[in-house]
Amino acid sequence: MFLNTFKYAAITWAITLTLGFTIAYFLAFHVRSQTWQTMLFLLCTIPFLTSNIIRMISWIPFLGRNGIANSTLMEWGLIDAPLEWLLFSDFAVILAFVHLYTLFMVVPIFNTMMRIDRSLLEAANDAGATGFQTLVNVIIPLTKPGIMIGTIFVVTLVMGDFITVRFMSGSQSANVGRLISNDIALLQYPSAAATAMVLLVTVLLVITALLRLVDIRKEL
Amino acid sequence: MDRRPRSFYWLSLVFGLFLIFLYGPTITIGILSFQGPSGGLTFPMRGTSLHWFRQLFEQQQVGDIWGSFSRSLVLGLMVMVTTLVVSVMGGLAFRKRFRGSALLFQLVIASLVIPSILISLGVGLMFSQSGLPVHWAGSGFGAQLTWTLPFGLLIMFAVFNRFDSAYEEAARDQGASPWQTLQHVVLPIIAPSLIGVGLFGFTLSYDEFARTLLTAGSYNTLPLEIFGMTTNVTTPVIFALGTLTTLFSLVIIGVFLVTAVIMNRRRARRRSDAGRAV
Repeated sequence: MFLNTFKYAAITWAITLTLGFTIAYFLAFHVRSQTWQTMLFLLCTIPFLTSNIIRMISWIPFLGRNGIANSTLMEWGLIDAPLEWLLFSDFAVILAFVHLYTLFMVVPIFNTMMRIDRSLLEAANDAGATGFQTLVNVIIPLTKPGIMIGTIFVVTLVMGDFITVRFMSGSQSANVGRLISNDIALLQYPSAAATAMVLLVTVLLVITALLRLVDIRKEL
Repeated sequence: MDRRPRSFYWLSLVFGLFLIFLYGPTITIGILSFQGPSGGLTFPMRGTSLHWFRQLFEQQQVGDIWGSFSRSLVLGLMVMVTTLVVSVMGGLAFRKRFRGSALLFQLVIASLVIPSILISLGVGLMFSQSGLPVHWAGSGFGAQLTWTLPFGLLIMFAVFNRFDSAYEEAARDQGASPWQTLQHVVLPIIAPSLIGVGLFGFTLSYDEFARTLLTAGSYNTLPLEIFGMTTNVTTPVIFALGTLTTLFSLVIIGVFLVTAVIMNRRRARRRSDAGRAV
Protein backbone atom coordinates (compact mmCIF):
# COMPACT_ATOMS: atom_id res chain seq x y z
CA MET A 1 0.00 0.00 0.00
CA PHE A 2 2.74 2.43 0.95
CA LEU A 3 4.76 1.21 -1.99
CA ASN A 4 1.89 2.08 -4.30
CA THR A 5 1.65 5.56 -2.79
CA PHE A 6 5.33 6.19 -3.43
CA LYS A 7 5.07 4.76 -6.91
CA TYR A 8 2.25 7.15 -7.84
CA ALA A 9 4.11 10.06 -6.29
CA ALA A 10 7.38 9.28 -8.07
CA ILE A 11 5.91 8.72 -11.53
CA THR A 12 3.60 11.71 -11.32
CA TRP A 13 6.46 13.85 -10.06
CA ALA A 14 8.72 12.87 -12.94
CA ILE A 15 6.07 13.54 -15.58
CA THR A 16 4.75 16.79 -14.14
CA LEU A 17 8.31 18.04 -13.66
CA THR A 18 9.31 17.39 -17.27
CA LEU A 19 6.06 18.71 -18.67
CA GLY A 20 5.83 21.65 -16.28
CA PHE A 21 9.43 22.67 -16.91
CA THR A 22 8.93 22.55 -20.68
CA ILE A 23 5.77 24.64 -20.52
CA ALA A 24 7.28 27.18 -18.14
CA TYR A 25 10.45 27.37 -20.25
CA PHE A 26 8.41 28.02 -23.37
CA LEU A 27 6.34 30.73 -21.68
CA ALA A 28 9.27 32.42 -20.01
CA PHE A 29 11.88 32.42 -22.74
CA HIS A 30 10.20 31.82 -26.07
CA VAL A 31 7.06 33.93 -25.88
CA ARG A 32 8.24 37.43 -26.48
CA SER A 33 5.34 39.78 -26.08
CA GLN A 34 4.14 40.29 -22.55
CA THR A 35 0.50 40.32 -23.52
CA TRP A 36 0.81 36.88 -25.09
CA GLN A 37 2.72 35.64 -22.09
CA THR A 38 -0.05 36.73 -19.73
CA MET A 39 -2.75 35.34 -22.01
CA LEU A 40 -1.14 31.94 -22.42
CA PHE A 41 -0.35 31.77 -18.71
CA LEU A 42 -3.98 32.49 -17.85
CA LEU A 43 -5.06 29.86 -20.35
CA CYS A 44 -2.96 27.33 -18.43
CA THR A 45 -4.32 28.48 -15.08
CA ILE A 46 -8.05 28.53 -15.77
CA PRO A 47 -8.65 24.73 -15.65
CA PHE A 48 -7.07 24.70 -12.21
CA LEU A 49 -9.91 26.90 -11.00
CA THR A 50 -12.63 24.51 -12.13
CA SER A 51 -13.82 21.44 -10.30
CA ASN A 52 -11.36 18.55 -9.96
CA ILE A 53 -14.11 15.98 -9.88
CA ILE A 54 -15.64 17.20 -13.09
CA ARG A 55 -12.22 17.10 -14.70
CA MET A 56 -11.85 13.49 -13.62
CA ILE A 57 -15.29 12.55 -14.89
CA SER A 58 -14.48 14.11 -18.22
CA TRP A 59 -11.91 11.39 -18.90
CA ILE A 60 -14.59 8.72 -19.02
CA PRO A 61 -15.74 9.32 -22.61
CA PHE A 62 -12.09 9.32 -23.64
CA LEU A 63 -10.77 6.23 -21.99
CA GLY A 64 -13.78 3.94 -21.65
CA ARG A 65 -14.17 0.66 -23.52
CA ASN A 66 -16.05 2.38 -26.32
CA GLY A 67 -14.34 5.69 -25.67
CA ILE A 68 -12.68 8.01 -28.11
CA ALA A 69 -9.16 6.69 -27.58
CA ASN A 70 -10.14 3.09 -28.22
CA SER A 71 -12.34 3.75 -31.22
CA THR A 72 -9.71 5.99 -32.84
CA LEU A 73 -6.99 3.40 -32.38
CA MET A 74 -9.24 0.69 -33.79
CA GLU A 75 -10.14 2.85 -36.76
CA TRP A 76 -6.47 3.36 -37.51
CA GLY A 77 -6.03 -0.38 -37.34
CA LEU A 78 -3.46 -0.17 -34.57
CA ILE A 79 -5.39 -2.48 -32.29
CA ASP A 80 -8.06 -5.10 -32.91
CA ALA A 81 -9.84 -5.19 -29.58
CA PRO A 82 -10.46 -2.28 -27.18
CA LEU A 83 -7.63 -1.75 -24.70
CA GLU A 84 -8.89 -2.62 -21.26
CA TRP A 85 -6.19 -0.85 -19.33
CA LEU A 86 -7.08 2.67 -20.43
CA LEU A 87 -9.73 3.38 -17.83
CA PHE A 88 -9.81 1.99 -14.29
CA SER A 89 -6.09 1.28 -14.09
CA ASP A 90 -2.84 2.72 -12.79
CA PHE A 91 -2.42 4.36 -16.17
CA ALA A 92 -5.69 6.27 -15.74
CA VAL A 93 -4.77 7.29 -12.20
CA ILE A 94 -1.45 8.76 -13.25
CA LEU A 95 -2.98 10.42 -16.29
CA ALA A 96 -5.50 12.13 -14.04
CA PHE A 97 -2.81 13.19 -11.58
CA VAL A 98 -0.78 14.74 -14.39
CA HIS A 99 -3.89 16.42 -15.73
CA LEU A 100 -4.81 17.86 -12.36
CA TYR A 101 -1.46 18.82 -10.92
CA THR A 102 0.93 19.86 -13.70
CA LEU A 103 -0.11 23.43 -13.03
CA PHE A 104 1.41 23.28 -9.57
CA MET A 105 4.75 22.76 -11.30
CA VAL A 106 4.25 25.32 -14.07
CA VAL A 107 3.40 28.25 -11.81
CA PRO A 108 6.37 28.22 -9.41
CA ILE A 109 8.88 27.31 -12.12
CA PHE A 110 7.55 30.07 -14.37
CA ASN A 111 7.73 32.46 -11.44
CA THR A 112 11.43 31.78 -10.79
CA MET A 113 12.28 31.77 -14.48
CA MET A 114 10.81 35.24 -14.90
CA ARG A 115 13.16 36.48 -12.22
CA ILE A 116 16.28 35.22 -13.97
CA ASP A 117 18.37 38.12 -15.18
CA ARG A 118 18.28 37.96 -19.00
CA SER A 119 21.83 39.31 -19.24
CA LEU A 120 23.06 36.02 -17.77
CA LEU A 121 21.70 34.25 -20.83
CA GLU A 122 23.39 36.73 -23.13
CA ALA A 123 26.61 36.26 -21.23
CA ALA A 124 26.36 32.50 -21.68
CA ASN A 125 25.68 33.03 -25.35
CA ASP A 126 28.66 35.39 -25.73
CA ALA A 127 30.88 32.93 -23.96
CA GLY A 128 30.03 30.47 -26.71
CA ALA A 129 27.58 28.20 -24.92
CA THR A 130 25.10 26.34 -27.08
CA GLY A 131 21.42 26.64 -26.30
CA PHE A 132 21.51 23.26 -24.58
CA GLN A 133 24.55 24.18 -22.46
CA THR A 134 22.84 27.38 -21.36
CA LEU A 135 19.80 25.37 -20.39
CA VAL A 136 21.73 22.83 -18.33
CA ASN A 137 24.34 25.08 -16.76
CA VAL A 138 22.50 28.37 -16.31
CA ILE A 139 18.74 28.02 -16.41
CA ILE A 140 18.23 24.75 -14.54
CA PRO A 141 20.40 25.68 -11.54
CA LEU A 142 18.68 29.05 -11.32
CA THR A 143 15.17 27.55 -11.44
CA LYS A 144 15.85 25.01 -8.71
CA PRO A 145 13.86 26.88 -6.05
CA GLY A 146 10.80 26.89 -8.31
CA ILE A 147 11.26 23.20 -9.01
CA MET A 148 11.45 22.53 -5.28
CA ILE A 149 8.24 24.43 -4.54
CA GLY A 150 6.45 22.64 -7.37
CA THR A 151 7.75 19.33 -6.07
CA ILE A 152 6.43 20.05 -2.59
CA PHE A 153 2.96 20.73 -3.99
CA VAL A 154 2.83 17.73 -6.29
CA VAL A 155 4.25 15.25 -3.78
CA THR A 156 1.90 16.26 -0.99
CA LEU A 157 -1.15 16.38 -3.26
CA VAL A 158 -0.46 12.96 -4.72
CA MET A 159 0.49 11.29 -1.46
CA GLY A 160 -2.57 12.57 0.35
CA ASP A 161 -4.96 11.85 -2.49
CA PHE A 162 -7.61 9.21 -2.24
CA ILE A 163 -10.36 10.39 -4.48
CA THR A 164 -8.48 10.32 -7.79
CA VAL A 165 -7.20 6.85 -7.04
CA ARG A 166 -10.60 5.58 -6.11
CA PHE A 167 -12.30 7.14 -9.08
CA MET A 168 -9.80 6.52 -11.85
CA SER A 169 -8.80 3.02 -10.80
CA GLY A 170 -12.42 1.92 -10.37
CA SER A 171 -11.54 0.75 -6.86
CA GLN A 172 -8.94 -1.64 -8.25
CA SER A 173 -5.80 0.03 -6.96
CA ALA A 174 -5.25 1.53 -3.58
CA ASN A 175 -2.94 3.92 -1.83
CA VAL A 176 -2.67 5.07 1.76
CA GLY A 177 -5.34 7.72 1.33
CA ARG A 178 -7.84 5.12 0.22
CA LEU A 179 -6.91 2.86 3.10
CA ILE A 180 -7.78 5.69 5.44
CA SER A 181 -11.02 6.54 3.71
CA ASN A 182 -12.07 2.89 3.69
CA ASP A 183 -11.41 2.66 7.42
CA ILE A 184 -13.49 5.77 7.92
CA ALA A 185 -16.33 4.34 5.88
CA LEU A 186 -16.28 1.26 8.14
CA LEU A 187 -16.15 3.55 11.19
CA GLN A 188 -12.75 2.11 12.13
CA TYR A 189 -11.53 5.44 13.45
CA PRO A 190 -8.58 4.18 15.52
CA SER A 191 -7.18 2.30 12.55
CA ALA A 192 -7.78 5.28 10.27
CA ALA A 193 -6.12 7.61 12.72
CA ALA A 194 -3.07 5.36 13.05
CA THR A 195 -2.61 5.11 9.29
CA ALA A 196 -3.14 8.85 9.06
CA MET A 197 -0.35 9.49 11.55
CA VAL A 198 2.05 7.31 9.58
CA LEU A 199 1.15 9.17 6.40
CA LEU A 200 1.50 12.51 8.14
CA VAL A 201 4.96 11.70 9.46
CA THR A 202 6.08 10.45 6.04
CA VAL A 203 4.85 13.56 4.26
CA LEU A 204 6.33 15.89 6.84
CA LEU A 205 9.71 14.12 6.59
CA VAL A 206 9.74 14.49 2.82
CA ILE A 207 8.75 18.14 3.01
CA THR A 208 11.27 18.97 5.73
CA ALA A 209 14.00 17.45 3.58
CA LEU A 210 12.86 19.53 0.60
CA LEU A 211 12.57 22.72 2.66
CA ARG A 212 16.20 22.40 3.70
CA LEU A 213 17.08 23.00 0.07
CA VAL A 214 15.00 26.10 -0.48
CA ASP A 215 13.84 29.17 1.43
CA ILE A 216 10.25 29.57 0.29
CA ARG A 217 9.77 33.04 1.68
CA LYS A 218 12.63 34.46 -0.32
CA GLU A 219 11.66 32.77 -3.53
CA LEU A 220 8.07 33.90 -3.89
CA MET B 1 14.56 40.78 -33.27
CA ASP B 2 16.61 37.76 -34.19
CA ARG B 3 15.25 34.70 -35.92
CA ARG B 4 13.40 32.22 -33.77
CA PRO B 5 15.40 29.06 -33.10
CA ARG B 6 14.00 25.76 -34.29
CA SER B 7 13.34 24.70 -30.71
CA PHE B 8 10.66 27.40 -30.59
CA TYR B 9 8.47 25.47 -32.98
CA TRP B 10 8.90 22.22 -31.12
CA LEU B 11 8.05 23.89 -27.85
CA SER B 12 5.01 25.58 -29.38
CA LEU B 13 3.85 22.18 -30.51
CA VAL B 14 4.30 20.76 -27.01
CA PHE B 15 2.47 23.73 -25.56
CA GLY B 16 -0.39 23.31 -28.01
CA LEU B 17 -0.70 19.63 -27.17
CA PHE B 18 -0.63 20.48 -23.49
CA LEU B 19 -3.54 22.88 -23.96
CA ILE B 20 -5.49 20.21 -25.81
CA PHE B 21 -4.70 17.80 -22.99
CA LEU B 22 -5.95 20.37 -20.47
CA TYR B 23 -9.12 21.42 -22.23
CA GLY B 24 -9.98 18.48 -24.47
CA PRO B 25 -11.82 16.33 -21.92
CA THR B 26 -13.82 19.26 -20.55
CA ILE B 27 -14.89 20.30 -24.04
CA THR B 28 -15.85 16.71 -24.80
CA ILE B 29 -18.23 16.43 -21.89
CA GLY B 30 -19.55 19.83 -22.87
CA ILE B 31 -20.50 18.38 -26.24
CA LEU B 32 -21.74 15.08 -24.81
CA SER B 33 -24.07 16.82 -22.38
CA PHE B 34 -26.24 17.72 -25.36
CA GLN B 35 -26.87 14.03 -26.10
CA GLY B 36 -30.31 13.04 -27.26
CA PRO B 37 -32.54 11.27 -24.71
CA SER B 38 -31.37 7.82 -25.81
CA GLY B 39 -27.67 8.67 -25.83
CA GLY B 40 -25.08 7.11 -23.55
CA LEU B 41 -21.92 8.20 -21.81
CA THR B 42 -19.73 8.16 -24.92
CA PHE B 43 -19.88 9.00 -28.59
CA PRO B 44 -21.65 8.61 -30.98
CA MET B 45 -24.15 11.35 -30.32
CA ARG B 46 -27.72 10.16 -30.68
CA GLY B 47 -29.25 13.43 -31.73
CA THR B 48 -28.91 16.66 -29.84
CA SER B 49 -31.23 17.88 -27.13
CA LEU B 50 -31.42 19.71 -23.85
CA HIS B 51 -32.97 16.60 -22.32
CA TRP B 52 -30.25 16.07 -19.70
CA PHE B 53 -30.21 19.70 -18.65
CA ARG B 54 -33.97 19.52 -18.17
CA GLN B 55 -33.46 16.45 -15.98
CA LEU B 56 -31.25 18.49 -13.68
CA PHE B 57 -34.13 20.76 -12.83
CA GLU B 58 -36.37 17.91 -11.73
CA GLN B 59 -35.29 17.50 -8.17
CA GLN B 60 -36.36 13.99 -7.28
CA GLN B 61 -34.44 12.52 -10.19
CA VAL B 62 -30.93 13.33 -9.20
CA GLY B 63 -30.88 14.62 -5.65
CA ASP B 64 -30.64 18.02 -4.11
CA ILE B 65 -28.44 19.83 -6.61
CA TRP B 66 -29.75 23.33 -6.16
CA GLY B 67 -29.64 23.17 -2.39
CA SER B 68 -26.04 21.99 -2.48
CA PHE B 69 -25.19 24.62 -5.06
CA SER B 70 -26.46 27.44 -2.86
CA ARG B 71 -24.60 26.00 0.13
CA SER B 72 -21.38 25.87 -1.89
CA LEU B 73 -21.92 29.43 -3.04
CA VAL B 74 -22.45 30.80 0.47
CA LEU B 75 -19.54 28.79 1.83
CA GLY B 76 -17.31 30.01 -1.01
CA LEU B 77 -18.14 33.63 -0.24
CA MET B 78 -17.51 33.11 3.48
CA VAL B 79 -14.15 31.50 2.77
CA MET B 80 -13.26 34.21 0.26
CA VAL B 81 -13.87 37.10 2.65
CA THR B 82 -12.07 35.41 5.55
CA THR B 83 -9.11 34.46 3.38
CA LEU B 84 -8.81 37.99 2.01
CA VAL B 85 -8.91 39.72 5.37
CA VAL B 86 -6.64 37.28 7.19
CA SER B 87 -4.04 36.93 4.46
CA VAL B 88 -3.72 40.71 3.98
CA MET B 89 -3.28 41.20 7.70
CA GLY B 90 -0.90 38.23 7.86
CA GLY B 91 1.08 39.52 4.89
CA LEU B 92 1.42 42.92 6.55
CA ALA B 93 2.47 41.35 9.84
CA PHE B 94 5.13 39.18 8.24
CA ARG B 95 6.83 42.19 6.67
CA LYS B 96 8.27 42.92 10.08
CA ARG B 97 10.29 40.35 11.93
CA PHE B 98 8.48 39.42 15.09
CA ARG B 99 9.06 36.82 17.72
CA GLY B 100 8.06 33.38 16.57
CA SER B 101 7.58 34.48 12.97
CA ALA B 102 9.76 31.64 11.68
CA LEU B 103 7.80 29.09 13.70
CA LEU B 104 4.49 30.57 12.61
CA PHE B 105 5.61 30.39 9.00
CA GLN B 106 6.54 26.72 9.42
CA LEU B 107 3.09 26.06 10.83
CA VAL B 108 1.49 27.79 7.85
CA ILE B 109 3.46 25.61 5.44
CA ALA B 110 2.60 22.52 7.48
CA SER B 111 -1.08 23.36 7.22
CA LEU B 112 -0.68 23.62 3.47
CA VAL B 113 1.05 20.28 3.01
CA ILE B 114 -0.92 18.09 5.40
CA PRO B 115 -2.88 15.62 3.26
CA SER B 116 -6.45 16.72 2.81
CA ILE B 117 -8.03 13.57 4.19
CA LEU B 118 -6.19 14.03 7.48
CA ILE B 119 -7.63 17.51 7.86
CA SER B 120 -11.04 16.17 7.04
CA LEU B 121 -10.79 13.29 9.48
CA GLY B 122 -9.19 15.40 12.21
CA VAL B 123 -11.60 18.31 12.05
CA GLY B 124 -14.59 16.03 11.71
CA LEU B 125 -13.59 13.89 14.70
CA MET B 126 -12.69 16.91 16.78
CA PHE B 127 -16.11 18.45 16.26
CA SER B 128 -18.09 15.27 16.86
CA GLN B 129 -16.02 14.22 19.90
CA SER B 130 -16.39 17.57 21.59
CA GLY B 131 -20.12 17.61 20.94
CA LEU B 132 -20.06 20.52 18.49
CA PRO B 133 -22.41 20.23 15.54
CA VAL B 134 -20.70 18.99 12.37
CA HIS B 135 -22.06 21.45 9.84
CA TRP B 136 -20.78 22.78 6.52
CA ALA B 137 -20.78 26.37 7.76
CA GLY B 138 -18.89 25.44 10.94
CA SER B 139 -16.52 22.51 10.68
CA GLY B 140 -16.60 22.54 6.86
CA PHE B 141 -15.74 26.22 6.84
CA GLY B 142 -12.82 25.66 9.21
CA ALA B 143 -11.49 22.69 7.28
CA GLN B 144 -11.44 24.67 4.04
CA LEU B 145 -9.64 27.58 5.67
CA THR B 146 -6.70 25.31 6.54
CA TRP B 147 -6.03 25.19 2.80
CA THR B 148 -7.10 28.61 1.50
CA LEU B 149 -5.42 30.69 4.21
CA PRO B 150 -1.86 29.42 3.58
CA PHE B 151 -2.47 29.83 -0.14
CA GLY B 152 -3.62 33.41 0.30
CA LEU B 153 -0.76 34.17 2.64
CA LEU B 154 1.83 32.80 0.18
CA ILE B 155 0.38 35.02 -2.55
CA MET B 156 0.57 38.00 -0.20
CA PHE B 157 4.24 37.17 0.48
CA ALA B 158 4.89 37.26 -3.23
CA VAL B 159 3.06 40.59 -3.47
CA PHE B 160 4.88 42.25 -0.61
CA ASN B 161 8.25 40.96 -1.80
CA ARG B 162 7.71 43.09 -4.90
CA PHE B 163 6.24 46.04 -3.01
CA ASP B 164 8.31 49.21 -3.09
CA SER B 165 8.27 50.62 0.43
CA ALA B 166 9.37 54.00 -0.91
CA TYR B 167 5.67 54.77 -1.44
CA GLU B 168 4.99 54.27 2.22
CA GLU B 169 7.95 56.40 3.22
CA ALA B 170 6.74 59.15 0.93
CA ALA B 171 3.31 59.00 2.54
CA ARG B 172 4.84 59.08 5.99
CA ASP B 173 7.01 62.06 5.07
CA GLN B 174 3.92 63.90 3.98
CA GLY B 175 2.51 63.39 7.43
CA ALA B 176 0.09 60.52 6.80
CA SER B 177 -0.85 58.42 9.80
CA PRO B 178 -0.13 54.67 9.55
CA TRP B 179 -3.83 54.03 9.01
CA GLN B 180 -4.02 56.65 6.25
CA THR B 181 -0.93 55.17 4.60
CA LEU B 182 -2.55 51.75 4.60
CA GLN B 183 -5.87 53.02 3.35
CA HIS B 184 -4.72 55.44 0.67
CA VAL B 185 -1.37 54.03 -0.40
CA VAL B 186 -0.83 50.35 0.37
CA LEU B 187 -4.28 48.93 -0.26
CA PRO B 188 -4.85 50.69 -3.61
CA ILE B 189 -1.46 49.50 -4.84
CA ILE B 190 -2.06 45.87 -3.93
CA ALA B 191 -5.74 45.88 -4.94
CA PRO B 192 -5.31 43.87 -8.18
CA SER B 193 -3.50 41.12 -6.27
CA LEU B 194 -6.29 41.11 -3.72
CA ILE B 195 -8.67 40.20 -6.52
CA GLY B 196 -6.42 37.24 -7.26
CA VAL B 197 -6.47 36.15 -3.62
CA GLY B 198 -10.24 36.49 -3.54
CA LEU B 199 -10.60 34.42 -6.69
CA PHE B 200 -8.39 31.69 -5.27
CA GLY B 201 -10.23 31.71 -1.96
CA PHE B 202 -13.59 31.36 -3.65
CA THR B 203 -12.75 28.74 -6.25
CA LEU B 204 -10.64 26.59 -3.93
CA SER B 205 -13.57 26.48 -1.55
CA TYR B 206 -16.22 26.05 -4.22
CA ASP B 207 -14.42 23.02 -5.71
CA GLU B 208 -13.08 21.55 -2.50
CA PHE B 209 -13.95 17.93 -2.00
CA ALA B 210 -11.71 16.00 0.36
CA ARG B 211 -11.65 18.57 3.15
CA THR B 212 -15.42 18.90 3.22
CA LEU B 213 -16.11 15.18 2.93
CA LEU B 214 -16.16 14.41 6.66
CA THR B 215 -16.86 17.91 7.90
CA ALA B 216 -19.99 18.91 6.02
CA GLY B 217 -22.45 17.08 8.23
CA SER B 218 -25.81 16.05 6.86
CA TYR B 219 -26.06 18.66 4.08
CA ASN B 220 -23.83 18.20 1.05
CA THR B 221 -21.92 20.86 -0.79
CA LEU B 222 -21.92 20.71 -4.58
CA PRO B 223 -18.68 18.70 -5.09
CA LEU B 224 -19.91 16.13 -2.57
CA GLU B 225 -23.24 15.93 -4.37
CA ILE B 226 -21.51 15.46 -7.72
CA PHE B 227 -19.30 12.76 -6.30
CA GLY B 228 -22.32 10.99 -4.88
CA MET B 229 -23.84 11.06 -8.33
CA THR B 230 -20.80 9.47 -9.96
CA THR B 231 -21.43 6.28 -8.05
CA ASN B 232 -25.10 5.86 -8.89
CA VAL B 233 -25.91 7.94 -11.97
CA THR B 234 -24.87 6.49 -15.30
CA THR B 235 -26.58 8.88 -17.69
CA PRO B 236 -25.29 12.03 -19.38
CA VAL B 237 -27.11 14.03 -16.74
CA ILE B 238 -23.81 14.07 -14.89
CA PHE B 239 -22.15 15.62 -17.93
CA ALA B 240 -24.85 18.27 -18.02
CA LEU B 241 -24.16 19.07 -14.40
CA GLY B 242 -20.41 19.13 -15.09
CA THR B 243 -20.93 21.50 -17.99
CA LEU B 244 -23.08 23.82 -15.89
CA THR B 245 -20.65 24.00 -12.97
CA THR B 246 -17.69 24.49 -15.27
CA LEU B 247 -19.55 27.32 -17.00
CA PHE B 248 -20.31 28.82 -13.62
CA SER B 249 -16.63 28.63 -12.65
CA LEU B 250 -15.68 30.30 -15.92
CA VAL B 251 -18.18 33.09 -15.31
CA ILE B 252 -16.73 33.65 -11.84
CA ILE B 253 -13.18 33.74 -13.22
CA GLY B 254 -14.35 36.12 -15.95
CA VAL B 255 -15.95 38.47 -13.41
CA PHE B 256 -12.77 38.59 -11.36
CA LEU B 257 -10.58 39.16 -14.44
CA VAL B 258 -12.78 41.95 -15.76
CA THR B 259 -12.74 43.60 -12.34
CA ALA B 260 -8.95 43.41 -12.32
CA VAL B 261 -8.70 44.93 -15.78
CA ILE B 262 -11.11 47.74 -14.91
CA MET B 263 -9.18 48.49 -11.73
CA ASN B 264 -5.91 48.65 -13.61
CA ARG B 265 -7.40 51.00 -16.21
CA ARG B 266 -8.87 53.20 -13.54
CA ARG B 267 -5.57 53.38 -11.78
CA ALA B 268 -3.73 54.24 -14.97
CA ARG B 269 -6.22 57.03 -15.61
CA ARG B 270 -5.94 58.38 -12.11
CA ARG B 271 -2.21 58.41 -12.29
CA SER B 272 -2.31 60.51 -15.42
CA ASP B 273 -4.58 62.96 -13.60
CA ALA B 274 -2.32 63.13 -10.62
CA GLY B 275 -0.20 66.02 -11.87
CA ARG B 276 -3.20 68.25 -12.51
CA ALA B 277 -4.83 67.57 -9.20
CA VAL B 278 -2.02 69.11 -7.20
